[in-house]
Amino acid sequence: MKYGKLKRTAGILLSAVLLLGSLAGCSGKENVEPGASPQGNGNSTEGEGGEQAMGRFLEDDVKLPIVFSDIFDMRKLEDGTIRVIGNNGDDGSKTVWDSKDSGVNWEKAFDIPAELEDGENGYVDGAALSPNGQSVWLYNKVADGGVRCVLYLLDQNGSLAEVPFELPAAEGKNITSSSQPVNTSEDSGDGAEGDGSISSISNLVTDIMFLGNDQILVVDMTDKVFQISTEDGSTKRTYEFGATQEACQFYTAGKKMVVATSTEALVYDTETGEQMPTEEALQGSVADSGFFNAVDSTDDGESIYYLTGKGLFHYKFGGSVMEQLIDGSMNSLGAPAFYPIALAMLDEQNLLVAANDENAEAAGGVSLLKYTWSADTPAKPDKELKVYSLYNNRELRQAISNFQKDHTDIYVNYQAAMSEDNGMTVSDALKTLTTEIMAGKGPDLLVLDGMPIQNYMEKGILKDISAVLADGEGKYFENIIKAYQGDGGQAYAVPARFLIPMAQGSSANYTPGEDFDTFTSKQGVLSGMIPEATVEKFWYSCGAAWQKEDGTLDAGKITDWLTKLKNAYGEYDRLQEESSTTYGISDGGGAFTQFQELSLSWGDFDLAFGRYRVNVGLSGRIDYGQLSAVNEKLEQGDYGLMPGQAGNVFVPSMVLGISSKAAQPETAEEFVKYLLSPEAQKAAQFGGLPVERDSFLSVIDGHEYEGKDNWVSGGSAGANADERLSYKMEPTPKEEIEKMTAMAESLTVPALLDDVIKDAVIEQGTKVLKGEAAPEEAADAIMQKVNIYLAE
Amino acid sequence: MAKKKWRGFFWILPSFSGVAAFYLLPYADVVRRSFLGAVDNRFAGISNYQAIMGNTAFRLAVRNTIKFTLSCIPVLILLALACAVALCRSKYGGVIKSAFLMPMALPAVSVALVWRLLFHSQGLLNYWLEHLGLAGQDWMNGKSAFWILVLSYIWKNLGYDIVLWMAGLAGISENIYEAAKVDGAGEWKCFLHITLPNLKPSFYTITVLSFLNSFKVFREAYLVAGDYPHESIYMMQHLFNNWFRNFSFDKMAAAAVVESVVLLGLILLLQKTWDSGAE
Amino acid sequence: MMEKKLIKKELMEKKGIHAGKLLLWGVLAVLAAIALYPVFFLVSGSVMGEDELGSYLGPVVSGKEGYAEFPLLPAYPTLRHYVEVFLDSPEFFVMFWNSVKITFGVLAGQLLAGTMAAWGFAKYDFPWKKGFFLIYMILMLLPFQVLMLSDYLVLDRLGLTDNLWGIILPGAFSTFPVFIMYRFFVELPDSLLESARLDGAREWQLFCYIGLPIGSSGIIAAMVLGFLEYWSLIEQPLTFLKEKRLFPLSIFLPDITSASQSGMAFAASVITFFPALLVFLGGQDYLEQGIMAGAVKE
Repeated sequence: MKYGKLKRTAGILLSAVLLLGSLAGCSGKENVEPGASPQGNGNSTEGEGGEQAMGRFLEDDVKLPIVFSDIFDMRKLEDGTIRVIGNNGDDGSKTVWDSKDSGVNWEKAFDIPAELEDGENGYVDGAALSPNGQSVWLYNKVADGGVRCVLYLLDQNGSLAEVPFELPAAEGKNITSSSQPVNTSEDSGDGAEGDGSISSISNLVTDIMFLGNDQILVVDMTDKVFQISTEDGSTKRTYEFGATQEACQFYTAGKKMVVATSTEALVYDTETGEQMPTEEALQGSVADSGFFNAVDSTDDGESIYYLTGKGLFHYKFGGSVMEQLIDGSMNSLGAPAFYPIALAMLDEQNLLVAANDENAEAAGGVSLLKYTWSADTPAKPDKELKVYSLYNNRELRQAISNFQKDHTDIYVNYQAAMSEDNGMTVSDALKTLTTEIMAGKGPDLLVLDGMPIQNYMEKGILKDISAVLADGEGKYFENIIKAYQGDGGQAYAVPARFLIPMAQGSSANYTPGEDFDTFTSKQGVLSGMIPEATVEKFWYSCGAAWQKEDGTLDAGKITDWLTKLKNAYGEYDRLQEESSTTYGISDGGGAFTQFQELSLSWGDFDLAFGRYRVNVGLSGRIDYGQLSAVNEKLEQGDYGLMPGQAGNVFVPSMVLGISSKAAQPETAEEFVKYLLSPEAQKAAQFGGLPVERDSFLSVIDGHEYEGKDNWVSGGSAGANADERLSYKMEPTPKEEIEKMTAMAESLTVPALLDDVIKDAVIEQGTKVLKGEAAPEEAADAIMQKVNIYLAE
Repeated sequence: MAKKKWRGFFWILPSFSGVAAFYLLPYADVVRRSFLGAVDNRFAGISNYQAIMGNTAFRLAVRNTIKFTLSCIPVLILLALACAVALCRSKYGGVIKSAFLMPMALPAVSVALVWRLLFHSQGLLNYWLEHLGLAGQDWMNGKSAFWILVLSYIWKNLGYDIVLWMAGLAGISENIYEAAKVDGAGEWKCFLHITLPNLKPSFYTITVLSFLNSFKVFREAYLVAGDYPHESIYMMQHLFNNWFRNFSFDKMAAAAVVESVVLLGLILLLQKTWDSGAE
Repeated sequence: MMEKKLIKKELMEKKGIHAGKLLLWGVLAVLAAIALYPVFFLVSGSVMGEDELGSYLGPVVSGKEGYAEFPLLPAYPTLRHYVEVFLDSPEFFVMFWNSVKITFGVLAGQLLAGTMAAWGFAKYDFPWKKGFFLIYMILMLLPFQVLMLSDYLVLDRLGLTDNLWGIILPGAFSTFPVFIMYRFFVELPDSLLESARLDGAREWQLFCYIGLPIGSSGIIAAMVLGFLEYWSLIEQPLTFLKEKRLFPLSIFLPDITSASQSGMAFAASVITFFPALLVFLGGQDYLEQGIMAGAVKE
C-alpha cells in the first residue's frame, strides 16, 4: 500500500514536470521570433510602426573612364577625392584614377613608374590605397626559379620607393607551383606566368592593406599577418591565423584589424596588438549574413560598414545591434556572380562599390555601382513577386537583380527549395509547394525544372501565358519555345532556355547525325564512362520515344534500349571509373547546377586523353574554342547531336509557368517577358542556351574575344594532373556559328522530363551497365514502378 | 434536469471543440472535396468514387494494405502472447521485456538508417549471408520488401504487445488457477480454459492498438524506399502522399472517405465481438 | 503469498519441464538480441571513427565494392561525432528545443483536454455518448495523410502554419490518449463517486480528488505513449513547417553520403533516442498498469 502511494505521488509529480516543461518550452518560443530575419532599413527603424516605411538605397551604374580588367582598390581619400587603382583592360597597364565629384568625372592621377609595368621579370599581384592617397603595390619578381615579393610604395603623386621588407619563408611549407590543384586558370597572358620557369615558391603575399597612412598589413599564404612600417619596412608585430581551418579575410578600420571567416569576426587593436573582446552582436550577424566581402569605415574605426552577399551592414563597436542598410536581395549585391572588391562610403547616404561582376554590362567584368539613399522610395517595394524553383538557378538570380534595378516598385522574392543542404527530398519540397498553392499562398512564378510539368498542366495549376509570347513572334527558336504549346496555341509552360544533347568523338567512333542503333552497335564505344551519368544522358535523348499513345511506356522499347546501351558500354570496370577525372575546362569554379555533371565539357579531358572513345553530354553553353581544342587531339574529331531514339531531342530548362492562383499575375507576366528578353537571355551561365535567337548568337559567337590575345589553359585534377589543354579564345568561325544555329533549329522533340520515371530508369539502367542485372529484368523493374506511378 | 443530462458533455467540451476544429472540420472538408474537381472545385458527383474504384494504383494499395494488416497483426498478437506467457512467470522477465520494448523508443529516422544499412544490396545482411555461403539479394527491391516491412512492424511492436498481454495475464486471479489445479487440470488445460477466455477483453484493446500501430510502419517504409517502393509495399499512405503531391485531391478525398467508412465498419465489428465477449 | 509461489514451483518441477524451459529461454534471448541489435548498432556506430565507418559502410554509403560489415564494438572508440553534433551544428540545439516544445506542448494539452474528456466519457451519461466515442475512435485510427490538405487549410486560416503551434494544437487534441485514459477511468466503481456526491462533493472535486489520483498511472501511460509519438514526429512538421529553424529533431538526418556524415547521423540518432529511452524506462510500469486497466474484468 505504501509502495502504491509512492508510485502515485511519483506519477503526479511526473505529470507536473511535463506540464511545467511544456509551459517553459512555449514561453521560450517568443524569444526565437525576433532577430531571425533582420529586415527593414536602418535609417527608417523609427517609422517601423507605420503602414509603409519609406526610404531605401537605390542602385546606379557608374561609368568608369576606361575599361578596367581589374580593380585593386578604391577609397575615398581624406580630401574627399575618390581614387581607384587597377589594371587597364585595353593594354594591361596599371592605372590610377581620381574623381572629385563622387564618380561623375574622372581624371588620371599620374603615370605609373616603369618598375610596376615591368612584365618581363614579374607581375603586379595587388595594390592598396591609404587614406591620404598613397598606394602600396605588390610586385612578384620572378627570379632564380623562385618568386620574390617586392613592395613598392607610391606617394600621392606617383613617385616610387621600395619598402625594405623581405617576406620570410613560410614555415613548414614549400609549395611547388606545378601542383596547383586548379582545373581552371583563365589568364590574360600576363607574361611571366605559364612558361613553367617557376620551380619553387617559399612564400607569397596574398593580401596587403593600409593601416592608417604609415603602416601596412601584409598577409602571407599561411595567414600570418605582418604589421609593417612603410618608412623603414620594419615589422612591428605579427599575428598568426594559420591554425584556423577556415579561410580568413583581413580588413582594416582605423587602427583596428578585422579578421573574418564565414562564422566569426575577430577584432584586433593594432596599437597594442591585443585581440579586443568579442563583439557578440557582430559575431551573431556574421553567422547570419555570411562572408565579409568589403569593409570601410567613416569614423576612423569607431564603426564599420561591411558588405556580404546579403547586403550592406553597419556596426558600431561596443554596440549591441548590427543594422542592415541595404537588402542585397533587392539589387546587385545579392546577385550570384557579384564579388565586391572595395567599398567606399562617401557619406551616410552615398556609397560606391567596386566589384568583379561576371554579368557586368561593361566589358572586362568589373563594375562600379553607386548606392544613393532615396527618402521617398518605399523601404520595401509594394509589390511582391514570389518566384519558386526546386534547384538554385543562377541565371534567374542574375535576372532578378537586374529586373529589380529597373522596377524599384517590385520586390522579387525568390526561393530555391533544394538549395540549402537541408536533407529535403524533391518529393517533400513538392508537397510543401502543393499545400501552399492550395492555400493561396503559393508562388506567382514557377520555374518548373524537376517538377511534373505535364501533370501541373493537366490539373490546371498553370495559367496560359501565350499572350506574353505573342509580342516576340519570330525572335525565338519557335521549335523550342513552343515545346509545351497545346493545339489551340495555349502555352502553360515556356522554356526560357534549353540544352542540346551533344556528342564529340573521332570519325572512327562517332559520325554526326548517326542514329542510335548504328551508334550503339559499336561495341564498347561508351566504355569507361560513369554508368549513372551515361544512363541519364541517354535517357534524355531516348526517353521520349518510349511513350505510347495512352501515356504508358513500352516495355519492349526499354529492354531494347538497355540491351543496346549495354552493348555500347561494354564491360564495367570499376577501377577505371574511380581513376578517371571528371572535370571540364570551363565549368569549374561555378556553383553546382542541375546539369553540370551531365555537361559535355565535363568529359573533355577523358576524351582528349583517350579514356573515352566518345564524349556525350548536355550542352547548356557551347564554347567553340574548347570543342576545337579537343577535336585537335582526336583523329578527325567532330561534334554534333547525341544519337538517340527519339530524334532531335532538346532538354527544356528554366521552364517558366505562372500559377493559376498567382496573387500578382500581371507582374509575373512582366517578369516572364523580361526573362525572355535579350537582356536576361544573354546572361548565360551554365543553365542553358537562350531561346531568343540574338542572345543565342551572342552566347556562342565569342564576340567578347574579338581583337584580344587571350589563351585558356586548363589542367585536370587528381590522378591526371599533368594533362593540359590550351587554346586561344577567339571569335567563333562563321561556318561553326551556322552549324550550331542549324543544330538548334533542327531540334524538334522535347526530352521527357519526368523525375519519377527518370529516377527509376537511372537506378535500373545503372545496374545493367554495371552488369548487375539483365536488360529484361531491369525493364520489368522500371515498368513496375512506372506503371504504379502512371496509374495514380 | 436537462442540465444534468448534458453534465457529462461539459467534460468533453474542451477536447471536443479542439477535435472539431482540428479533425472534424478538416474531415468535413475532405468529404466535400470528394465530390468536387481537384483544383477547379467544380461539382463532380460521384465520379471521383468511380475513378478510384477503377484505379489500378488504388486497388494495389488497398490489396497491399489489407494483406499487410492480415499478415502482421495475427502474427504479432500471437507471438506477443506466447512471449508474455513465458515471461510472466519468471523473475528475469522484466529484463527481457525491457529489451523487447527498446525498439519502440527508437525514432523512425534512426530505424530507417539502420534498415538502409542492413537491407541494402551491398548491406550487412548480404554480408552475413555470404559468410554462410548463401546468395544475397536486393532486399528492398524485391518481394522480400513486404516481409521486411512485416518484420520491422513486429520488431517495433512486440515489446508493446507483450506488455499489454502481461498486464492482461496479471489481471487474472490466481485463485481460479488454484481451484482448477485442485480439480486436476494440467498447464495446457488451464491455459485453454482459464487464461484464454479471461484474456478476451484484453484482446480487443490489443487488436485496436496493434491496428493503430500498423499504420505507422509507413514512416519507415517511406524513409527507406521513398515515394515509389517495390510494388509489394506500396500502401495506402504512399498513394495518398503521391496524390497529394500531384494535386489529385479529388481522388485522395474520395479514397479517404472510403477508408474511414471501412474503419468505422471494422470498429463496430470489433466492438460487437468484444461486447458479446464481455457479457 | 509465500504459499502460492511454493505451490507453483512444486508443480513445475513435477512436470519436469526443465529442458523445454531452457529452450524457451534460448528462443526468448535470441529474440531479445534481435530486438536490441539495431540499438547496439547505432550506439557503436556513433562512437566509431570516421575511417573505421568509412571502411565498414563504404559499400552502402559511397558505392564501394563488396559488402558492408559491422563489428559489435569499434576498434578505436571516439566521441568525435558527438562533438561534431553538439559543437559544430548549431542547428542541432535549435531542433532539440523545437522537439521539446512540440512534445511537451502536446502533452500538456492532452493532459488538460484529454483527461477531462476521458473522465466525461467514462463516468457520465449523455445523449449520443456512444456516437461521440465512435467518432473519437475513428479519428484515432485515421492516417495523417487523409486529412493533410484540409488540416493545412484550417491551420492556415488560423494563421498557424509555419508555427510550432500548428503542430502542437492538433496533437494536443489527439483522441488517442482519451481512448487510453477512458479505459482506466471506466474501471472506477460508480458507487465510490455516488457516495462522495452524497458527502457533498462537487463534480470537479470528484475529478480532482478521486479521478486524477486513481487514474494517475493511466494518465502517465498515455503521456509516455504520447511522448514517444510526438518525439519522433515526421509527417506533420514536414508538411506544416517550412522554416528550417522550426524543424524538430525527429527530421534531422544528415544525408549519409560520406562516412563522417553517417557518423553524425548515428550520434544524432543516439542523442534523439536517449530522452525517449529515459521516459520509456521510467514510465514502463505505468504503461503496463495504465493501458490494461478496464480491459481486465474480474
